[in-house]
Amino acid sequence: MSRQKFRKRIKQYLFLSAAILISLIASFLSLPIFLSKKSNIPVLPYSFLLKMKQRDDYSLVLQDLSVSLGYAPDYQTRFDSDYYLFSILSRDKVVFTGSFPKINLVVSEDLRSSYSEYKKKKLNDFELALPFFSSADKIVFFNEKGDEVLRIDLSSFNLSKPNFDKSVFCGDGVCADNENFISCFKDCGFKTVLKIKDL
Amino acid sequence: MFGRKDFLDSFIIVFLIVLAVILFPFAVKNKISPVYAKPLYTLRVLTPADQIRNGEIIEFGIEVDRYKSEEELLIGAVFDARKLKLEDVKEGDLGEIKWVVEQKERDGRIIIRGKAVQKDLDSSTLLAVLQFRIDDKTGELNEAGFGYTQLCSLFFPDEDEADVLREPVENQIMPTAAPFSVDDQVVDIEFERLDKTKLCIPLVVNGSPADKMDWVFFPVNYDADEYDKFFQEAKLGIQRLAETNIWQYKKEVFDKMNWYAFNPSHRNVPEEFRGKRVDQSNLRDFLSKVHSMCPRDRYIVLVGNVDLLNSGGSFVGGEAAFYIGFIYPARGLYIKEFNTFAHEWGHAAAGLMDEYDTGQWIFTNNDSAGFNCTLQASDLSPVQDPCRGGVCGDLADDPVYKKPCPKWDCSKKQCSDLEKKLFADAGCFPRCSIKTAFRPAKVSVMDGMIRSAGDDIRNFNGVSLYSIIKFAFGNYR
Repeated sequence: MSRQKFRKRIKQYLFLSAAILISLIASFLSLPIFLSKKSNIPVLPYSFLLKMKQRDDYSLVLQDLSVSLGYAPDYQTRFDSDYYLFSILSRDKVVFTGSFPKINLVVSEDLRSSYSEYKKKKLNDFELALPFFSSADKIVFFNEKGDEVLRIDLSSFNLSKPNFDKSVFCGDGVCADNENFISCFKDCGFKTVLKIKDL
Repeated sequence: MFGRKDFLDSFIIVFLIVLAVILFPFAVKNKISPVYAKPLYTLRVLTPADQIRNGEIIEFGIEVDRYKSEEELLIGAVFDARKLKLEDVKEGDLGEIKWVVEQKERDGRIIIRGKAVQKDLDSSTLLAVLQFRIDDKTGELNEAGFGYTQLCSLFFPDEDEADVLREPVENQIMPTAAPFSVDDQVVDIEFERLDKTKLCIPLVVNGSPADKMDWVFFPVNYDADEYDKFFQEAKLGIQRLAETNIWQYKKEVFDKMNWYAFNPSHRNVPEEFRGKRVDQSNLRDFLSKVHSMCPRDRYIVLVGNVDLLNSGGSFVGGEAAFYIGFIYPARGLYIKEFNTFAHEWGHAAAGLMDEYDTGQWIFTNNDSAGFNCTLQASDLSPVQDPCRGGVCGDLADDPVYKKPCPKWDCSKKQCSDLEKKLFADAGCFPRCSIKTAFRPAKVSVMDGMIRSAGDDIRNFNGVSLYSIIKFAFGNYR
């Protein structure tokens, strides 16, 4: 084989190897497309934990605020009365909005005998776990009329992420935002990826 | 020469091949395209009602429909072992079956495997006959037969469970058992394969928790060796909800939910609760420590075995916290004629009001809350409840009840297309939480134990459906 042919062959192999390598990389890079959520609500095993007090006039007082381990609800159900609306802001932009009821309503019932007992009570002292946004700087609460009932400036709190071993949450059955199919295949394997896109 | 075009061609081909190689095994393994109809199983009482007596034989037939020739058939039945004693399992019209029984103090489970040897049939065929002797040790069944048909129900066993099937067991004499009912409409829910290595075991996952209303089942009053029962009963709960007309709004509601079962054996569970039975004494402590370990827009505390609500064993219902979750005695899952699981779900998911007479109107600002009830009657002024005593008579069809209450009358308010569609059959029936409030339909799943009410007792009325779709799930994707 002449030297020129040999160089050509080497060049072909190099092109082919490069094509395989690039396609592999492209394949893996394209997978996160399937992982994309439809909303910007974080799925994280930690959340803002607010200890609150509800006054008699339904205004709210913050008693404590921290970042705590645990998934937060997403508060996406809508209400037509007796509710609080809240927004999480980052640099004056709303990054999240949710709502929750102003009262606790619990019914115990035996449907066979049509017995029921309703208990309706105010929230009083309660905890609220909100989705964690690292860039958040304010949380504002409104009543159903749109009147502001509480504004929290997050800069006055030390809200560092809790120290935890990420591997503890790998295997909890939830593909969180801080996991991916490489770091936690168990939760974010292909099944999760594909199901999310309804393939 | 290997030029730019060749490189591009190679790249595209290799890219597609690599992508296909990566995805194909998972596509096959995880049944990405489950576009096939599963066999439809139904359970029927074969014994005539007037022959059902304590101490006598009662037979249940498992029928199968929509099966293919040579298709493997696998179904389970759970029965209340306190009330029924298994005498025999006989083959039906489909030929030989294999079956195995697992019996515990309170309930028993029969797993049956068969093969469809006939050609495809449109009509249902008898797969097996379950023969029990009624031996009620609880005193909950009366001589008139009430309750006897609620003793046995179907479930879908895992393949792992079915692996224990060997040769048929002959004439086992079992302690009492009594299962429960399941419906005539078993829907094709695509359950996840139970992965007991996970903390939050996915049961049905339709997307990212960010986009869905996430429900988590927590076990109470289940011993460690009963966790499988807990997982099965959690799945049965989902199935019970799917038996309502919510299933007809799958895209708008059902597909917007994820369902998980909390795994009490997982290493992340605090040691004091790991693998241990949680009961009434430590339920509050348990929930406070584990409730945020799974995505949890709503919770369901499933109470196995003992009745948490101290009702002496007869309680049929639950305790629902509006928009938060509910505590539910699992035994209610097996009651056929009334879907209490869906009823409590209606409270917890969407804040729906009770439509029976609770004697309490909990709102101070009248009609602005309680989607499915109103204090304002139509101008035809219906007064008398046409379904008193749990029976809806002919009076319920009187035109006075057909005219909708103003709250859901699209001739008096501007309605969206969805409202027009769902309010089309709404009327104005006295009694909705209180006698002087009004409900949209004579019967619905949010009503109490109505007899002779047909399928409507299993379903949400149109006004309730609207509030579920628009308010509870409108922001989910």
